[in-house]
Amino acid sequence: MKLKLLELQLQRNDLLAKFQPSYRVVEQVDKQIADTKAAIEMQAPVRDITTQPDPDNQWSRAELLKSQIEIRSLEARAAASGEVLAEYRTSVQKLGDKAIQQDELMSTLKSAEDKYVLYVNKREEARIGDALDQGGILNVAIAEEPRRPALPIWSLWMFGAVGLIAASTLSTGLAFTADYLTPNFRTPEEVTTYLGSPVLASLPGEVDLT
Amino acid sequence: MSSASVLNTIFSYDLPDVGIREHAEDKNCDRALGNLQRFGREQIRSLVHQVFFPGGAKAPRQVVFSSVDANNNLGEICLSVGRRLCTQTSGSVCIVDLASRHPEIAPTLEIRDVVDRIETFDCLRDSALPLSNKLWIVHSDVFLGNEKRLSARWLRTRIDELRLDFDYTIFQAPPAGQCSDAHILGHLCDGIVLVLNANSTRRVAAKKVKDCLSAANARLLGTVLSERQFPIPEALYRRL
Repeated sequence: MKLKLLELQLQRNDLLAKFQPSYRVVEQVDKQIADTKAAIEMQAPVRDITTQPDPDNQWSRAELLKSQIEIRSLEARAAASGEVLAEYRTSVQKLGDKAIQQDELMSTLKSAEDKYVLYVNKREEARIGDALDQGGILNVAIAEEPRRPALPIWSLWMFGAVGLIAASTLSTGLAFTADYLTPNFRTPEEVTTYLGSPVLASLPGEVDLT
Repeated sequence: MSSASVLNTIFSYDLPDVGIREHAEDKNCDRALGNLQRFGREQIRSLVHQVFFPGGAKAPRQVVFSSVDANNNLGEICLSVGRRLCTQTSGSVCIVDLASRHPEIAPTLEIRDVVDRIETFDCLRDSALPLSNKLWIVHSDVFLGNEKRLSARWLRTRIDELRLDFDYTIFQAPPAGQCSDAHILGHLCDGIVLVLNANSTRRVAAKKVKDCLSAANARLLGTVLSERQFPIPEALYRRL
């Protein structure tokens, strides 16, 4: 209807370019336009309805379905892992018990080896003793006289140098210590430092001043 | 550096006065060469110069010499100071031997035989023992008279009498560490010189005596270190 209305309006414009509006053909076209408009107004308004499904909803439903399936698979895997874990625990307990038994066996083995070596040595000694008794041989070890070493570990010069340094250090330290700990005055500087008064004279001893 | 300059450097702290130090440079050399006696006399000269002629407005004229503990040299030091003072001044000098008041703790000048013959006169100068035309010695018996218990007022009067009779007075006081006479005299006189024995006087005792003198308002002019030892042999000094 709208298309027809548009065509009529175009036709009217063409006619108006050639004829007067009062021309009969033009009036007919005007009447047709009016009729068409009336028909259009009489018709109900057009409504656009989309019937295509929502993609987000479909995606959510798909994801939900996937998650439910995954949950079921994980639950099944957890159940299987629990069974495996229980088997492992049982085997670990068995291994622990066997390790204890192994340690006991190892210690028993070691003690048996030691005893065996001891008995073998004793038997060898007894055999050697019996052989020596049978041959009349006495086992005697000759003691060697100790000898003085040709070179000392520390040379005489080293001993002397170390002794000299130690003696010098010790004597100097003792002298300084004795000097520091002396409670008496000896020099004018000490008097000035300790008493804070000037030393007017320092007189030597055992001298006749008069 | 020559040996003389080295020795002068070593002994320069004994002579605080610059003029005296310059004058004593050759003396120090002599002392290093074995003349300890000359060195001691030079120290006495320096002592007299610093105590009685310090260069100030009011030079001390009545000075007390006292030791911390018993000092055998105190009398000798006082006598030497008196004699040296006589050579450096034209005034009269008097040595008052108060140490003999306590003979158990202080040795006195060996003039007791002369003192026994002295009679007591009204004037102290008449009662004093003349050692020369400018030097007198007053014994404690003469100075104190019949007074056995010293009072500050009486002592002040007696010291004023001495000031009238003599230009300079040297008091040989008992040890300040064992008797309070030195504290009183130091307060009444112009000052006190503390004599310390090298290698004998303890530092704590000297410090205590100095504090007591300060508490008694005694003017400590300085100290004298006596009986000093020089451990380096003289032969080594000659080689320096």
